[in-house]
Amino acid sequence: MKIAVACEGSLPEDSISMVMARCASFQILDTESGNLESKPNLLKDGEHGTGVKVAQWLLEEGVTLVVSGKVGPQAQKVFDEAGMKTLALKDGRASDILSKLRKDFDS
Amino acid sequence: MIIAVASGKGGTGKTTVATSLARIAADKLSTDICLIDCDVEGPNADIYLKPRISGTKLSTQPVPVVDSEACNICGKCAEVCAFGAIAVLPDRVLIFDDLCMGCGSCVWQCPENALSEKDHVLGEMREGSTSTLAFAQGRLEVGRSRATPIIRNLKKWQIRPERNAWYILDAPPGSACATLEAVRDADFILLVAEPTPLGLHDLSLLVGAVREGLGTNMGVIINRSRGRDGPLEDYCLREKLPILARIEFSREIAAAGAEGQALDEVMPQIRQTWEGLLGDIQ
Repeated sequence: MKIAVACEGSLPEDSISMVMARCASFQILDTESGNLESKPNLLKDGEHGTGVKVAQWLLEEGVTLVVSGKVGPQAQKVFDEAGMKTLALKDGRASDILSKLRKDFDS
Repeated sequence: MIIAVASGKGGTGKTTVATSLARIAADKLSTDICLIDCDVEGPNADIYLKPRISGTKLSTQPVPVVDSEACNICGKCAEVCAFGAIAVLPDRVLIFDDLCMGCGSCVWQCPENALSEKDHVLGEMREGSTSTLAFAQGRLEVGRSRATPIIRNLKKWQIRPERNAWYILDAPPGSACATLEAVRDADFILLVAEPTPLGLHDLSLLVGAVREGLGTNMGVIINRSRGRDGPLEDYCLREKLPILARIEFSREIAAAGAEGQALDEVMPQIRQTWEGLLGDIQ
């Protein structure tokens, strides 16, 4: 599976973003290959329907679990309809969150 | 002649001023007067004017619908949508009616002709009259978020050159799209301001938006005035905004407003102020 953590900066060491669609980047971990990618969120300053656009992008990236502080209602609808899971966390570094989740899925 | 009553901050007395001014204008002027309540998120001018409603009309906007038989999930519609109103899932297309602006690009560009348009109801518009003036009002449907198109539709419906009337528009609060849509073609904007820090702050945002975007002439009515209104008066002086009237801070006026009485019913002397103002605008 592919886990995306919404991140306040561009590095895995940066904190989780409290708003999914407006985050600076997504740290995306492929749990099968162990490959970690940092993808800048080029849509974050959009004016209209940003949540839906970001959700569409994550869907196309093959993400199956989205971790952030909060997901807006429209983006949540896209995730729900597409069968993608969401997880809300209040704080933590993206790298710590990903390694913990990976351990949970491995065990 | 179109006079818009606006404020920046909410609750400063726009409707109080607009309805009372409309009543006096209908008495004094020989032209027809029409009060249009453009505050579609919280319309309440009817409380003060008590009009008889004679007609209603739905305010709608086109939104796309997918023919799932014809759609092959190519994704072109989501790609061309500037408003994020369409998401393309592996097996179907999701449309967000409330994000759609009705531009029609998706329908035009669908290679399979799988999209058509239906009317999405944004709200309702009503028209009617009192014994002296015409009245119209827009009302945003509960759960909808887009006030601007209703205000546009309401004005298009009511403001017609052959009517040869004076229109007094009760604008929504704020300084964003809905407010600017309400005031955009006004000949004069009456700003109702209260002498508080927040009142002044929001007033200055609206003044800035009007000056930058429209250039309409404006004047200020100070509501809940305590006589000397320090920072607000200084601001008006600095910005060369004439102070056209003051309404005193009074429990009696507030109580009458809560009972649905028009301002000139509780404060008859305001008639002279409104008559002078109408003469000046004329």
